[in-house]
Amino acid sequence: MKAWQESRLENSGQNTENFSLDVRLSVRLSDFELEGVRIRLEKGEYLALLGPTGSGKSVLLEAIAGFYPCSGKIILNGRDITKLPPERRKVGVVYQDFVLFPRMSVYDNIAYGLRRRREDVRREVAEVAELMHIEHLLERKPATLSGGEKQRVAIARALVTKPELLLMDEPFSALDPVTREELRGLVRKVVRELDVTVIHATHDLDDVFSLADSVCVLMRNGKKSEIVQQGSVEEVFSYPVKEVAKLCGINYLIGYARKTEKLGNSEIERFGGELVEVELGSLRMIGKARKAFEGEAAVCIRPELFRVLPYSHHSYDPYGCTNSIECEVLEVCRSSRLVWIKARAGEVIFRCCVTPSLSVGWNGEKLRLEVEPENVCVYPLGGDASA
Amino acid sequence: MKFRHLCIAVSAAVTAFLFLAVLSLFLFPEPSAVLECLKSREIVYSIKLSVTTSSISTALVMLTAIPVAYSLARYSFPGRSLVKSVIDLPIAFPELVLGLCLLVFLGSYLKLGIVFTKPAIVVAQYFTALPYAARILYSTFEGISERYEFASRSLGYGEFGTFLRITLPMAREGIFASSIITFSRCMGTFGAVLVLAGGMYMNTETLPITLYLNLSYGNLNMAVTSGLVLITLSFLAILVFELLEGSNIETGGVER
Repeated sequence: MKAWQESRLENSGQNTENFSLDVRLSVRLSDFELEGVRIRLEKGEYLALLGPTGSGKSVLLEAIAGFYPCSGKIILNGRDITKLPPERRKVGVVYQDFVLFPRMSVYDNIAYGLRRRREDVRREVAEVAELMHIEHLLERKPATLSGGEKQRVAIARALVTKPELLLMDEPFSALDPVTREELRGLVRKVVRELDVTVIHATHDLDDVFSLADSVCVLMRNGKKSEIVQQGSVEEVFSYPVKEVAKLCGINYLIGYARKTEKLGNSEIERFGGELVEVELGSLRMIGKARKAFEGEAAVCIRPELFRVLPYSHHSYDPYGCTNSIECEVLEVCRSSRLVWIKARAGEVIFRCCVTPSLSVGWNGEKLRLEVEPENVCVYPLGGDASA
Repeated sequence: MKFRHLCIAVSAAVTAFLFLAVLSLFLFPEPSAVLECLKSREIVYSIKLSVTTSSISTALVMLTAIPVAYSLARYSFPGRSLVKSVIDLPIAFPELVLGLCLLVFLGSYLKLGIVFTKPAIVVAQYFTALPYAARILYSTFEGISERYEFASRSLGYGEFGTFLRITLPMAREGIFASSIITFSRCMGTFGAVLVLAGGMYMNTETLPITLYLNLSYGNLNMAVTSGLVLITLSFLAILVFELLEGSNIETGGVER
């Protein structure tokens, strides 16, 4: 187990019995291996399983659900379910392609997993239908529903049996962006309300930020796949390891860090950490580290946390510690909602994004990038990201 | 003439030729002679025998082809590819030789005493038709995403319960199609039945045997009549299938 994994487990300050889910497993298939997975979730925790296509997210979920043989141990609320068949694990699944039973009505789909008295079934289906806003669809056949409606039914079908763990495999990938946004909101509300423990596999960062408490990043290297980083969303995306930074488009730079006496740590304290000064070639920046240190350092800045200003402007900086960087624009790329800018300051290249309200014009233009120290996350290299 | 015109012309020509050949069978005999033949004891006997044996064979084929096809589509097990090739074999295997193999095996080794009896007809039909049914069912089961079964199992149903409640209903079209084809194939089985059951007059005489026997006596009307009955029964089977399919679509088919 890696050091940051250990520290997360220690920091959580809980002993094993308090976890709702405790997974330790490996899966070996003919052309694919998933090694040394360790996941612990508290009751009601929402874990995003982030990884590129083919990184084994589905395999991991299906191993936990019991569809793939695996070695290791899966403890769910104190029950060892490693050897149990899927039908006795009390684990719900939701898939990207909905897999509603085509010959059954929406009502029958939802009622499928309920084996009790008819009145009870009717009441429970009605409850979950109200929760997922599908009361008006109960008599319909799945083929007549829209994608968003199908997925709401599929989630209702999984939730109605009150699973102790809900596994969702790219549940929103087949939906259009507007529906996806709607459904995220609904899922967030319902999952909180029912206090379900969830593992949600996705390659979409928006899913992670809008839903998850914690995140676990899977990466594939050749035939093997493993978890490269896990922790709270805030932690992982502030102090990403190199692979995660690359996957998520976070600026990841190598520099040299020093303790700084420049400022008191009073302001930074509320964000957690201590101020350090980093040298990136000829560029000097103030950033935060979990604990001040001196030595080779990784510097991580999320692209959306820059302020982009005309060259001659400065914003109000009461503490005099805002990083203000003069840059030259290398590349401007527009997407639907954002403008992506690649800019160079000395030997360093930053990637940042701004809303299109700012007119960033042409390559070679001079710009000023500003970024607050608490958004420049620094950790020592050659060791342990969490120290 | 462009390439696509050439292709279409070839298909049109072949279809027209086949269609005319079938039509000629209907136009060739005197209708009164056909009616006369239909009333003959021999034809009535062989129709009854063919329909009975084919029904039994179809039931047996479906009963075994479903688990065979399902295991091939879902599970990996040692010898899986062997099972698959054995099932595919008779498609390229001459029917007559298949009959001979069964004759030697059942007659000389197992010595069950069913060779040259009516049960032998069922055995011959069963082994000729099984590969066809297993093939269709195999692709049917393969076409059903395993995730439907996963979803059902996560909702508390075991493997068998899931198979009964989810997989079988979703495979309904494939099961209909393969049973119709199996039945037609059983009705038409000739070589294997001839070798294994002997093709004895008014004993192990199925419709194709009637056709063959009467053709060799030079009794053309009887031969043509049994041919007509065979064709009609096949068409009826296809018609029934189409009707069932049609009514099925209205009540909501498989989600695509």
